[in-house]
Amino acid sequence: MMVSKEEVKHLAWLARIELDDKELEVYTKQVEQIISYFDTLDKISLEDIHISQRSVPYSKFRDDVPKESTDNVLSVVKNSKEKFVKAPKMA
Amino acid sequence: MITMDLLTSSAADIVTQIKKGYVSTEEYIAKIFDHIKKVESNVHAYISLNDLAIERAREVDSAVKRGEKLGKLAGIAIAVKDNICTSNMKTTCASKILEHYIPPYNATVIEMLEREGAIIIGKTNLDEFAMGTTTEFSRFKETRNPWDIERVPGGSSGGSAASLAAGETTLALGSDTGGSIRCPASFCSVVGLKPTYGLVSRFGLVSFANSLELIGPMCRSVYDTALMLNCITGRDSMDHTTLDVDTKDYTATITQGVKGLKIGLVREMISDVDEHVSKTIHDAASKFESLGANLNEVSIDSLQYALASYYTIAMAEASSNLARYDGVRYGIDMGPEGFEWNSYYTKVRSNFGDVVKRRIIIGTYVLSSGYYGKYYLKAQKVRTLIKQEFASLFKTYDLLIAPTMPILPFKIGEKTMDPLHMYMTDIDTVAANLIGIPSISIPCAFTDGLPIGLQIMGDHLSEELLIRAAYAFEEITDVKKVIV
Repeated sequence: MMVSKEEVKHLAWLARIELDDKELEVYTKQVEQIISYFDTLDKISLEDIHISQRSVPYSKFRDDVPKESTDNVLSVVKNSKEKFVKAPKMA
Repeated sequence: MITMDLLTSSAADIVTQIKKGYVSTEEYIAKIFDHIKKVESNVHAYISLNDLAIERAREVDSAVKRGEKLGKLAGIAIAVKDNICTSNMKTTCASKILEHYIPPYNATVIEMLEREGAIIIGKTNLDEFAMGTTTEFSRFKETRNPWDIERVPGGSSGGSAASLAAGETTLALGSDTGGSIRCPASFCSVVGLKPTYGLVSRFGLVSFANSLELIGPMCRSVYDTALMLNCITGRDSMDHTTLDVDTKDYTATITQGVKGLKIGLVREMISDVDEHVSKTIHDAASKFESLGANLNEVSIDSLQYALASYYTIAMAEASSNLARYDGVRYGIDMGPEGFEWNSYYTKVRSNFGDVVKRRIIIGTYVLSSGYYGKYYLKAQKVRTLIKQEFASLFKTYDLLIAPTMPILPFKIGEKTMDPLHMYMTDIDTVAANLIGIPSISIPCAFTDGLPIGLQIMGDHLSEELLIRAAYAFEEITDVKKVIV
């Protein structure tokens, strides 16, 4: 699979990661190399295979009863106003 | 007071002496801190140390004097990988994004270990967000292999493994997404167990790839591994993927040996490895035969696709998980004032290291609408195929063995420029994560002064068997596990 610089630039934007020109150059090569390796999955026929559920079942869900949070979650927020988190404005 | 080497003794021995009042916990913990001061400039295993450890040690000593009932790990020093949340200490994931982050809660495993009296002495180094095989991709320091400080300790739990091998702790916790406990255990000649998916709570483990990873014990003996596993298993209401199974005493059956067990040596995992590794693992197979196990070579054809499947899934999950680092609610704060959301978010995330950025981008690629079916869906189907092949083998075989790592610990910097080459070193460890089975790495031998680890895998929830076999092997081999 060929991967272009434009594609990597777009993916970086989707993931909100800033890349400078040099990074874009290096990443494009590396992404192409790795994606080409993933192409080995094309060699195998998987038509009759289904995505399996976990072999050991999950625990039962607990009852939906509200509990008091014991953690002071807001203690880690640097920019807060009263009980709100201050964030940059949406464009 | 009795004489024992507190830097190299097992947790089992030390805790016995502490409970009898023959060893002072304060002296023991102080001795470990002195040793850390002495060797840390060479090893670089820790990101931070716990200032409250000595105080905790005094509390244990007071409890001993008062004749109180003590926990299974009373007073025992434990090093914790720095992607496991500790409420009184920074949890950085070796990332600039979380450099000053102190979580408001403890991981469930931390609560459980502290309830048993263990003392956290520090947080250990890792590859940023546990993405790596060498611990070279920490944003703070490179941990070195105590057996040869020019070489990598393995990763991503490299700090935990190195601290054990250098006598800087008695027990350690690691996490394993694709081999991150077993690889450094192998490279540093210590024991590392990745338990069955769901046996240990992941609550408080900073997420990288949730469907693959688990927390597990890292120790200098198989017995200590069993002892530590006893303390951390069980259902947790904070992690609904934990299993509803009874807790066990994994030390109870540890001496039962391997006589009559059917063990398979996995051909695909040993065929392309370093010749020293191959010879050592074949020798290990013969040792199991001499202990009365029935040994055969087995083949798992789908393993040739395991690595591509693993990396596709791991990167997809990583790209989704790491979307949470926005620099708004916690972690790095670059001052949102005056910024528009997207530009702030992008600026914050430029603080990720290369390895992490690359994985997020590739994860985004394999999940994007045009490629989802071609990569992610296929990877999940391959996962099923691998699971089916292993399940059919476990109808006949009790355990499977293989090398943990295909190569010997290599020089620092040797593979950093070639990501794909680096991924290839995970070839023997990722299958256990893809299908959720337990796998243990134990010290097998040294060649030219470098450690080789043996990997033992079993069916879901077969930890007892794994530990029995590992213990039997350890009993008849004499491999160094610590250098002080």
